[in-house]
Amino acid sequence: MGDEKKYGENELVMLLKQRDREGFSYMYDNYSAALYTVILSIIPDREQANDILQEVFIKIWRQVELYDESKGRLYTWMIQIARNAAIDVVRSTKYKQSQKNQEIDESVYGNETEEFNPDKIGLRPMVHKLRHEHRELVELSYYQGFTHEEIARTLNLPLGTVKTRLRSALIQLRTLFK
Amino acid sequence: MMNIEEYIASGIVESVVLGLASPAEAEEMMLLRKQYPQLDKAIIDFEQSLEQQGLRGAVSPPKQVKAELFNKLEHEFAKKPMEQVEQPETEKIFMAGPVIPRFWKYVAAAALILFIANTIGSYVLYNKYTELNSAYSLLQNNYLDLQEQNKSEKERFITMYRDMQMMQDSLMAVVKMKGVAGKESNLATVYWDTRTKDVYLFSNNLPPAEPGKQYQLWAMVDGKPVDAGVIGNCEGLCKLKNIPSAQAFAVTLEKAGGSPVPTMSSLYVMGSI
Repeated sequence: MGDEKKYGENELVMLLKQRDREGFSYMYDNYSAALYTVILSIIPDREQANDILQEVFIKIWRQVELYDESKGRLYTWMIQIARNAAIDVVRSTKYKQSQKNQEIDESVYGNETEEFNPDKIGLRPMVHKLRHEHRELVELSYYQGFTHEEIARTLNLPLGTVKTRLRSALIQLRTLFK
Repeated sequence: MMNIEEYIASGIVESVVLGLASPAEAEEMMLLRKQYPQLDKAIIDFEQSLEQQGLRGAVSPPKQVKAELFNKLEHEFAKKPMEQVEQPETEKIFMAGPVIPRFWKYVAAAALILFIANTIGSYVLYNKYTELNSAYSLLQNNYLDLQEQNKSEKERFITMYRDMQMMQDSLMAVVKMKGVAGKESNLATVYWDTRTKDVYLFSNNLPPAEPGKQYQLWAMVDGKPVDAGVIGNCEGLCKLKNIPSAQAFAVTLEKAGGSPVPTMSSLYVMGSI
């Protein structure tokens, strides 16, 4: 862990495709925090986020053959896998049920679970600086995983408006990157 | 020809990289990036800034997650040290040559060769297996996507078919509303069911409503405008309110949710029965 070896992205992908243990370990050390942060910003419960992170790395490991360099960077590919895994959980009926129960628990016993304040991590602080109508769209699509059609229906907006408004929200968001 | 600068500035790059665009939009961008180096660069730039942003101030997972993960995957890593272990043993066999009868030397060599061949064979088969396994799950995902797509296409078709039948119904009064002065290219049609008095609207050509605004249909009843409903997010024929009698219809652009009286300055189309 302490060694100073650094791999370039192509080299790392090659090592992973060769099922190299050290390559995998290097990838974990370098990217696990970023992926974990994406997951936590969607699922603030640490226990659940830990499980999802493991699942995500297993998926990356087993599907690295499907990664196509010509379509994007390794980081982009991994971060999409992480976000999708977290969104799958958010949208599952089991999770929705557990959230309801938790609200009841909290109101009765107070909040004892180890939850992160999701507002402080990942892209969230920047999303918070957006105008209300932009923030709403980023929240629904990026963090809740709603499709454009679902958002159009929920907010009673034309589909075209949803698409253009979301895109201008993302452009705004990008200007807030440090 | 498309204006690539405009395309890049539209936010599509951010939308695709963050995984928020539809598969069709993503596919299109992947094709375009091969044609336009500026686009390719814009994509890579955003990916890099997203990566820098993501690595900065990230929260590390607890240590035990890595340990558990490596436990689970232990048998999936390539077994490297094996060749190094075998080397000295073969040497020993040859060095001890004079003591071991020649026959056993052959047996040992044959056994070793078989063992190595077997190991390589299993490894190759195992790789094939994982490859096929991931290819299979990819196919499965594609299949589910297609199924989903098929379902929504079917729904659209049913809606269109229903609309078509309604438009052809001889008991439907058809009121063509033409664009007013300055908006001549606009057109919308009211279909008014003479039995139930239900009103349906078809937007032949209306510009997309600005954010926070909606089109509203008015029925002119004895010279007075009566609210006939706002036009929500619907495809094809939109069912609006029930209007027992009217002499004309008109459409104005109002604030979202509609207004109690029409804003005449934003009148788009009208037509009389």
